[in-house]
Amino acid sequence: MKGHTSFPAGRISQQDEWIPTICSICRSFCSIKAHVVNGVVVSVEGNPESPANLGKMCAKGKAQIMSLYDPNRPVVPLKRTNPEKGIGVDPKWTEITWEEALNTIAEKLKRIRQEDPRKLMLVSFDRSALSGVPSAFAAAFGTVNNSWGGYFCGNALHPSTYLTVGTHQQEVDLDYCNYLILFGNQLGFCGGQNPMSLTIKMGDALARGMKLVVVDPAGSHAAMKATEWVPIRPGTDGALAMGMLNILLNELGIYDADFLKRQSNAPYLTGPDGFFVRDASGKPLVWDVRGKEARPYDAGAPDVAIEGTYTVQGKVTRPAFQLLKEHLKTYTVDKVSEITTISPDTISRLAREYGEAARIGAKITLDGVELPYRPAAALYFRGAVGHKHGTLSSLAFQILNTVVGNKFMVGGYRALNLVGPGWNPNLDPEEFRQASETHMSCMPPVPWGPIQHRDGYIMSSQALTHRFPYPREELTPPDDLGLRDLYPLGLNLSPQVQITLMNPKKYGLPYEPEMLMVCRNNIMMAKGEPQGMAATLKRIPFIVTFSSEMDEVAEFADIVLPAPHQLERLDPFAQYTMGGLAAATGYWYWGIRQPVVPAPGQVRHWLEVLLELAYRTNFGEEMNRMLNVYFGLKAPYRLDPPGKYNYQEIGDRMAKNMFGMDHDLAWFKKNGLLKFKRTVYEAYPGPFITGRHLVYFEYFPELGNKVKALTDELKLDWDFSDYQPLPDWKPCPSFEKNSGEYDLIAVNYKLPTHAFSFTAENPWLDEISEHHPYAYKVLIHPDAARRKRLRDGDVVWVESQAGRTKGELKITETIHPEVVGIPGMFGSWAKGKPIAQGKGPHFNSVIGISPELIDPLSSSADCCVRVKVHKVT
Amino acid sequence: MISTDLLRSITAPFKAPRTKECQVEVVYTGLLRNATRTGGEEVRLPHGSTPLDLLHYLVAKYGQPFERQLWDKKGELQSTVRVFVDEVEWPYQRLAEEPLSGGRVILMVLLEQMSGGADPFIGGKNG
Repeated sequence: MKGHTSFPAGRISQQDEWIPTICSICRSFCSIKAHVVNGVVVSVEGNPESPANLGKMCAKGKAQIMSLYDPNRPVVPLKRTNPEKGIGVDPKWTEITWEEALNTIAEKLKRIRQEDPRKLMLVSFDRSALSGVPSAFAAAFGTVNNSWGGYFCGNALHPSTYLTVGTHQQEVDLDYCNYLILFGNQLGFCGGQNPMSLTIKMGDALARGMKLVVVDPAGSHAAMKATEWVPIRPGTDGALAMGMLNILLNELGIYDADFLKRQSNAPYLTGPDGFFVRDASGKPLVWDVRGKEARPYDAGAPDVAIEGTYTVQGKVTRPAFQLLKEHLKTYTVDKVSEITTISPDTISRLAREYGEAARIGAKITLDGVELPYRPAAALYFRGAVGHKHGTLSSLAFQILNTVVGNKFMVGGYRALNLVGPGWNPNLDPEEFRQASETHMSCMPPVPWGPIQHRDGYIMSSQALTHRFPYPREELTPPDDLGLRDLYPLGLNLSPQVQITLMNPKKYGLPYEPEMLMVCRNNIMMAKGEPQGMAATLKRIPFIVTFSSEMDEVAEFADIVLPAPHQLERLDPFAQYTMGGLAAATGYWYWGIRQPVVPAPGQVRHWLEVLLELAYRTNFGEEMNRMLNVYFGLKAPYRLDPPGKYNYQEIGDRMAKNMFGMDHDLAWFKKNGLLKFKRTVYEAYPGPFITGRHLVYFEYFPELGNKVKALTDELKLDWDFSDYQPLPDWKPCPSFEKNSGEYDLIAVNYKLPTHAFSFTAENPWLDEISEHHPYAYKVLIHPDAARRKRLRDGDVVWVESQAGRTKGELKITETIHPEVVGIPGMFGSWAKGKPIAQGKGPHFNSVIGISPELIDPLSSSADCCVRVKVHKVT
Repeated sequence: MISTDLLRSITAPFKAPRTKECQVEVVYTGLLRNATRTGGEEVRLPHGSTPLDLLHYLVAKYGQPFERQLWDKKGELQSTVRVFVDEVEWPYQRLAEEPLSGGRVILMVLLEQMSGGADPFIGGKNG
């Protein structure tokens, strides 16, 4: 069962060569080169040709050579012989052939497809270009239950970015930014998009004098390198954003009125019912200052009002911005200080510094084009919004950027790839429309860009949209485990999947899952507390996992299929627009991941296996048709539906389909990547975008009404109170209940030397963690330690009402006094991970998953957890 | 999107002579296969029928489970729907405009993932 204990016998290089490929440890996909000598990888280096990482690598990437030659890797298919499943229960594995494994799986797939295909669940967090294969597999098979991902990563962030800036992720223009606030976010510190190139740019920006403020309960790596660290009570970042907005708009009068008038819905007149006042054709009206009358928002009025009160159609109306300003008045600095524990002076200063640094009205000329210069930005991520009501907090952060007019402007806030290669403001509208609606997101020069909502808002190009349409406007009773029609704003409904799985009938689902296929997703460690997940998995009769290590999921599997290491995989065009290709790199680029050494034993790429299963299960023809659509394959590269293709052949067709005959897969294997520089319009589309940014979410209440109607129909007790047109800070459940003995709040943050759960098994990274003062530790403030009579080095339980985890105490002032810090994802318990087993605490063990503990808009799990800390006796 | 009004105008009494019938082979994939419980069938339509006419015929035959995959509550065709005629994808505009002349009609519904970021390669609505 075990992997090679010596170097692999097979060779693909004769003597000595450097093979270009792409790292796959985190989701940032750095371009690398593997040094292969006589069939053995002796080193990996950053590819200096690639804008993705500018020739640099992080510790995780460098250390991957150790996991490649991990002697504990599974290299043959395994079958469980012990029917009992549970944490710590020995599956009693027996080796089987691929033929037996595939026959067993195919027979079950055939039966399930015949009975009800929705009984099949697919789970993966393996993001690379051809990972569209699982989607095509699911669509062809007929299951709506495709993927069961993270519980709190960007769950509450992504809706806010799609709703306001039309894309999945965010970044900042570090080349010109002078003032950056990171809320619960470590972008530029081996985190976020393009971590290597952005870390270099962050260093350069700090060296030239950019002020970096990190707002975080924990003294993360970003916080420790920042100009200023502002410790905050967990789960209250949204209140700080609202407080800063109040100061900017109502006290200091700092906002970009010109931007708000022309490029946001701030001027839209709003009636007493909270809805926009519209003309006969349904267009929202604005107040024409010169004409002194209401006109449609797109009628070209030279000056429109964003403040005041106007009588229109017999109603008292106010511009949306006026409503925002009034709404913010309740967020007084004293109140926000009480919520966040940040001093009133600091709150006021941060707001003023941020507003002044934005230099509203300033211009800069780049490449001969005069552009607005707004060198201030506020970025947020899981740390700030990974909790109940986190989506509302996310929207507050978006408005904090919008009011200073920095969206896609020089020095300001950018969202990832809102416009595509070739986009410019002079495009023929029809050409643009077709491009935005038809092409694939990784295609070479096709000018995708934002499309416009009927009310004038920015909407994501179809090329980038996660859900189509988004937000979902027409709701029907859901038939998927994520209940997506009950979360029309949600994008990742994974916590709800677990809740539904425990009682599908309650949610009106006429089926129960019978089979789960997992790849590269440690659903036991990466989600909520493990006992709850174990109970969930026990409800699924048959589990298959594609594994490159015998992890905590394998412990629950019926069949384990050996999966390759990233240096053994082919993944054409792994770098993609959703999770990388930041505009900060200055380029567009596409490259492939390729095997630099053969995989050991009987290891097979899981996507190749999915293809074979489709053919064996007699839906290969449908699968090929789906692949043609998902990959946008055109003649002569389309797959012939009755044909059988391997992964390599499909990759070659994709390459030629995208880049032409001259750039086939062989070209990419030799050259690694194709790149071209971004134009100034592609880097700074802000001034030229016609769609408007949102400061008022008029349609939210209506969506909430639709959810209410549907949940009433399904007789479900549901929370729709967050469907409100303006954001608010609302306390997490941790703040609502009497905390009693649970007097601290646990938080988790990333270390630059680890990603997800699987790097914990890497011996080099383990060694770093052993020497790291905070990794593998439970961090507590000296005041809290004194109160509890705890000492440095004590072994303690960190216990919530959901679960507990054990770790060694580290007393430090780099943590908020009310907080317990647990970095990384450690505390593995699988016997197949002898290096990681038992090392460090496992934060997710204290996360409870229940309807009361998830965000009602996004289903994000609440990471703001009350805990007690006591010594292990 | 194709509006209900447009659909009504298209599917109003056929202008083409009805003396002949058009026979097509319909192939269902994925979710549509679930809704029809079959992989495909032969369908006879009045001469001059368009793919949209075919979709209406099938909705009438298979009812709500099939209909919800194709249209939203406003009567707009879901952007996840793909229609191929003899292996050629027909853009949405053509569905209501060009009559079928027999052959093989393949109906597909794409799926979104529940999590993990957008499908990097997933295509948008065919223009």
